[in-house]
Amino acid sequence: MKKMNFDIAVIGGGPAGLAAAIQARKEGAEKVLVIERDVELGGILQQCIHDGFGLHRFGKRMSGNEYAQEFIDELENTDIEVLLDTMVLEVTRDKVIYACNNKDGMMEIACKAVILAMGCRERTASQIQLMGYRPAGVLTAGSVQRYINMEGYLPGKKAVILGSGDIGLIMARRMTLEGMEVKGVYEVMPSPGGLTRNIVQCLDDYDIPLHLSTTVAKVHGKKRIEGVTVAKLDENRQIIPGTEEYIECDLLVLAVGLIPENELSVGCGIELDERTRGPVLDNHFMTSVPGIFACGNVAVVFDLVDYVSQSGEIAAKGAVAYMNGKLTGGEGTEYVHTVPAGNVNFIVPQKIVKGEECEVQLYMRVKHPDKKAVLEVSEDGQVTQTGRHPFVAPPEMISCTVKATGNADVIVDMKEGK
Amino acid sequence: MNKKEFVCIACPNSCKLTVWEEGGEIHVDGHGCKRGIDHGKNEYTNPMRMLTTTVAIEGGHHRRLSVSSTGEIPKNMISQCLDVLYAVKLVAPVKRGDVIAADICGTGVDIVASRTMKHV
Amino acid sequence: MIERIRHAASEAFPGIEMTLTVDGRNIVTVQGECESWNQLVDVGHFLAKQEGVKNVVNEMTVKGLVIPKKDYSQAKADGEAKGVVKETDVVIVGAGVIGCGIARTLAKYDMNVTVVEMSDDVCTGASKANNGNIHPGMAVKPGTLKAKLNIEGNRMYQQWADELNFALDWCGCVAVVTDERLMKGAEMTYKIAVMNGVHEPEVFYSAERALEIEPKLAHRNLDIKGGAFFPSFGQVESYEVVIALAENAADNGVEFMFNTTVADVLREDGQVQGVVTNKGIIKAKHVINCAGIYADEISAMAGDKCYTIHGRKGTLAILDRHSEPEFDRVTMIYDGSHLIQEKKNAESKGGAMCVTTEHQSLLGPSATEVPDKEDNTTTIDDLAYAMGTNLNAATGYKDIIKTFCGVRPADYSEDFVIEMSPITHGFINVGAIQSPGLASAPAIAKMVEEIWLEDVKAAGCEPAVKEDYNPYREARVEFRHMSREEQDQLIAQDPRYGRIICRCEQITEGEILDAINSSVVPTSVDAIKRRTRAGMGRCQGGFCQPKVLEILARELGKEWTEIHLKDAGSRILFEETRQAAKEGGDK
Repeated sequence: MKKMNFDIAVIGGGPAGLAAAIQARKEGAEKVLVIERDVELGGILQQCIHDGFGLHRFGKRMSGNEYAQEFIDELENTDIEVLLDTMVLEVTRDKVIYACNNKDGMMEIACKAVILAMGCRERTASQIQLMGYRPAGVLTAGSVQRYINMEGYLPGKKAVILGSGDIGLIMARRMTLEGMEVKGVYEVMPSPGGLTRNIVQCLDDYDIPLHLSTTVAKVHGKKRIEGVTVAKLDENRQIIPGTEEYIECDLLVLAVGLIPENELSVGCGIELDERTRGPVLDNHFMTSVPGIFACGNVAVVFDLVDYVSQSGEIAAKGAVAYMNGKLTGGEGTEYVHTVPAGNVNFIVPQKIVKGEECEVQLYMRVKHPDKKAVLEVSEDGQVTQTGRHPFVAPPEMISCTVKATGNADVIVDMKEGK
Repeated sequence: MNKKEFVCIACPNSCKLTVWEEGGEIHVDGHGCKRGIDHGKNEYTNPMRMLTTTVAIEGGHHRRLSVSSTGEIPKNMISQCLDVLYAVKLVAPVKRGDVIAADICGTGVDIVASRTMKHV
Repeated sequence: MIERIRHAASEAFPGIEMTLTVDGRNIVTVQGECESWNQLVDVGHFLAKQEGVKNVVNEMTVKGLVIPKKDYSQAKADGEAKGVVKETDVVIVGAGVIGCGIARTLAKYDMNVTVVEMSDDVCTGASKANNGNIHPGMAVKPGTLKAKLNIEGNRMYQQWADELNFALDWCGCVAVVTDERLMKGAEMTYKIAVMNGVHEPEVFYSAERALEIEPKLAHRNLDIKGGAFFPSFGQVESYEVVIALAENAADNGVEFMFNTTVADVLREDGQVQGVVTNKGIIKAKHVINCAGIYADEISAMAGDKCYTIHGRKGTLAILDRHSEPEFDRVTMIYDGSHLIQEKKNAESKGGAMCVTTEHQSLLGPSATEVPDKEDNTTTIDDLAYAMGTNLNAATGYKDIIKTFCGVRPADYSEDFVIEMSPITHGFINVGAIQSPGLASAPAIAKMVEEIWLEDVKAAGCEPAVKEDYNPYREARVEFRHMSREEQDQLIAQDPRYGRIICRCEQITEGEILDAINSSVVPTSVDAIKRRTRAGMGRCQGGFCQPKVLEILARELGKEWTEIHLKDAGSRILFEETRQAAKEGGDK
C-alpha cells in the first residue's frame, strides 16, 4: 500500500476545498493535498453554468464554472498536490486517510490536519415519500443539470418540477432554453424556496407557473413517467381532498433539498448537529475530532458560494494553527456556545473555544420570513451588538462577524419586525 | 395605455411594480425606492438578460462546454443568440475567456468560454 | 357439493348474484358482479375454504371498475408471423426465483432448457420486491403443500448458498412477550412449528433465556415473561439468490430470452407442443409455468383454468446504514398493546423489522389487495403500515433511503399450485408462489424436477446428467467487504477495481464490469444495481447513474439514449441537447 505524508489534506476539490487548500498553503502549510473524486476540480460548480456566483467575493456576476476556474487557475500556480478520480474511503481519528484510484491503488495518507470539504447531496424521491410508481424519468435537479449541461442529453421533453429552491428554478429556465416544456413548479411550502430574482428571471420570463402549498401526490407510469397527480396542501401540509389534478409529463425533477455528505465524518465519530446535519464546529471550524476541520456544504448547506469559499479559508487557518500547535481541541478543551434565539433557526459555528477573545464569523438561517427584523447579539445579558435586517427569509443565509469574549455563551436573537 | 406588471428584483423586498406609458413618458408605480423606478423602466422598454448555455465540444472531459455572455443582451434576442450557439462545435483545449462568438447577433456582446477545458 | 356451496355463498354474500360451477377436479368457477374489489377477493377466499374445494377460478367483475387485463394479441400475432424460431426440450416461463431455481436444477441434465422472461432481466417481479426472509415454517398452515415445501426449502438453503455463493445469514427469529397472557400465542406458534417439522424451535419462559438469545434486548429494560425462538430463520437478498441461480444455470447451458412474452401455449391432442412468444414460436416437450402474477393466464392459455391470481401488493422501506438495526435477530416484542395489526392480511406474512445481509433495517411489507396485478404503487397508508413494523424508536421516516412495493401472486386456496396439468400433458404449473415462496424455492425446484423426471421416465427415457455440470458459481468480488490490504492487492491486479463508481455503497468499476461480463448480461441501470449494489445507497443513484449509464453504453456498444432504467419503455435519456441541425427555436 502506498504511504504518503502531508501537512494538510483537503477532501473535496469543490469551492470549499479549493479555497481551503489555497489558504492553507498561504498560511504556511508546505505539503498540501486535495483529493477529488471527480476527474477534474471544481465540484458541483462545473455543472452550474448559470450566472449569479461571486457577487460578494469578486464584485461581479459569474457563472459557476467561471467562479471555480478562478480558484483552479490559482491553485495550478501553486505546488499544492491534487489527486483526481480518487475516492476517500475512510478517515481515522488520528488523521489517516485511506483513498484509492486506478493508478495509485490504495493509499494511506497520514496528515497533520484534515479538512473535510465533501459538499452535499440531494434529497431523493424516497426521502420525501413520493408515492406511486417508480418509473424512469424521476430525477433530482442536480442529475438533470449534469445530464443536460455536462453530458449533453435531455432526460425528457415535458417536465414538472417539485420544489422551488434555487436549483429547481434555475433548471426550469435551463430546460426551457433547451426546448423542453416546463409545465410548472410545485412547492410544498406556502412561500417559495428560492430567491425572488430567480423566480422572476427563471419562471416569470418564460411564463412558467409556480404553485405554492402544492405537492406531487402520486407518480403515474409503470415504465417511463406519464404524469403526476398534484394536490393542494393545508396548513398542516396534509392533502386537501378534491384538489387533486392530473398533469401529464415525461419528467419529474426533484429539487427538494440538500443534505451535507457526512459519511466520512460519521465514520470517524465526529459529532453532528441535528439541525445542520453537519459537524458541530468551533470558531476555527474544527470538528469534535482534534485536527479534523470542515467547511463548505458538508458543514452546513450554504446559499452563496462566496460563503462556501470563506468557510474554507477559516477552516484552513484553523488547520494550520492546529498543525503549528496553536490549537488543541478535543476533550481537554472547554467551549462556550453560540445560541440561536427568536427567529434564528441555527448558527454555524456552534461553539467558541473558552477564553478565546475573538471575532467569529457566524452563518445562520431564520425559521420564517420577516421584515424589519433586528439581530441582537448578547453575552451574559449584555447586548454586544445589534444589526437591522430589512428582510429575512429561510432561503437567504445571514452572515455576520461577531466579537466574542469567549467567556460566556453568545446569544444570537433575531427579533421579530414590528 | 399598455400597463405591465413586474416584480422588482433590485433588492429582496420584491415590490410589485406597475409600469405604463402615457404622454410619451414612462410611469412606474408600486416601487419602494428609486432603484425600483429604474428597474421598472428598463423592464418595460428594453429588458436585458445575461445568457449562459453550453456548446458542443470534442476532445475534452465533457461533450459540452459552458459559455457565458460578457454582458446583458436584450431578452427578446436570447432565442436568436441560442440558435447561433447551437451551431458551434469546438475542439478542446479551450481556455476560459476564449471568445466563442464575437458581437453575437450584433448585440455588441461577446460569448466567451466560462471554463477551461483541457484536451484529454 | 355445488348445492352446498351455493347455499353457503348466498348466505355469506346476500344480494350478490353468483353463477357457480365445479369441475371434476373440484375447482369452482364463479361469475357475477361484486360491489367492491375486496368483496370479490372475499368471495374467492370464502369459496376456496368450503369443504372439498380444491381451488377457485374467480371470473367475477366489480361494479364500476375496469379490471386491467393484459392483452396478448399483438405479441401473439408477432410470434406467429415469425414462426418457429427454436426447438428446445424445456421452456420455463418466468425468470424469478422459481423459474431460475428450476432452470438451475434442470441444467444438470443433458438437454436444452430455455427460460423466457417478459422483462429485461431476471428477478423483476415478486422475487425483487421481497424482504429476503427464509422463513423457518412456523407461520404456515400444517398439512399444506406450502408447509411441506417451506420446511424442506429452508433446510436446503445452506447448500444453495454454499454452491452459489450468495450471502445467507441465519439470524434467527425471536418473539418475546411482556404479558403472561400472551404466552399462549408463543406456545401456539411453537406447537405449529413442531407440527410442521421446523428445525429446532424453542419456547421459553424466562427473561434470562430471552437475553441469551438476543442480548440487545437488555437495553429495552423489558419485563420479559417468555417467548419463542426459531433459529432457522434466515435472511438473504432475494435478487442475489435469483441472479446466482440464473448465472449458474446459464453457465451450465440454460438459455435466457429476455423481453420475451408468452402469448399462447401450443398443444395437440392434450400434449403441450411449445409456446408462442412475441419473438416467435418455441417448440418444446415440456413447458413449466413460473409466471408469477401471470401464471393463471399462462395456465389458461394451456387450456387449464384451475386457479386465479389476485395481486396482493406489499410496500417495504429500507433504512440508511447509519440507523444501526436495534437487534441482530429478527425480534418481535408483544406487550399486548401493539395489537394494532388490523391492516395485516391474514393470508400473508405481516412483515417485520428485518436486518438485511448488508446490515440495514428493512421494514414491511404491507398487504393490500389490488385489481391491477401490475399495481406496485406505494401509498401513504401502506408505507405507514411498513413503518409500523419498526420497533426502534430512534429511527423513522427520516432514515428511509428507499421505499418500494411488489405484488404477491396469491391464489384463493392460498397454497402453492404445483402439478403436471391433467388437461395439457407436459405443461407443469408452478403457480401462486407467494410467501414463503423464496424460502420454499429449493424444494419447489426439486419437486418440479421430480415431476419432470417421472414424466420423462414414464415415456421410457432415462435422462442423462451432463458430464461437465458444475453446481458451483464463483463468488463475486466485493470490494467493500475487503481489508485495505486486500483492496490494494486487488487494484494492483486490475486497476479497474480502483475506480469507485457508487460512492454510497463503494462499488467499483471492476465489479460493474464483472457483472456485465457474466453469463446473464445485465443491460439496464437497475439490472446493474441488483448485481452490484451500485445506486442502492442513500443518494439512490443521484451521483453514479450517469457513470453506470456511460459504462453500460460503452460495454454494450450502445448509445446513451438506448440505455434503460429497467425494461423496455423506461429509457432514461431522450435525445442530445439542442443542435442547430434540429428544429428548435425558443418561444
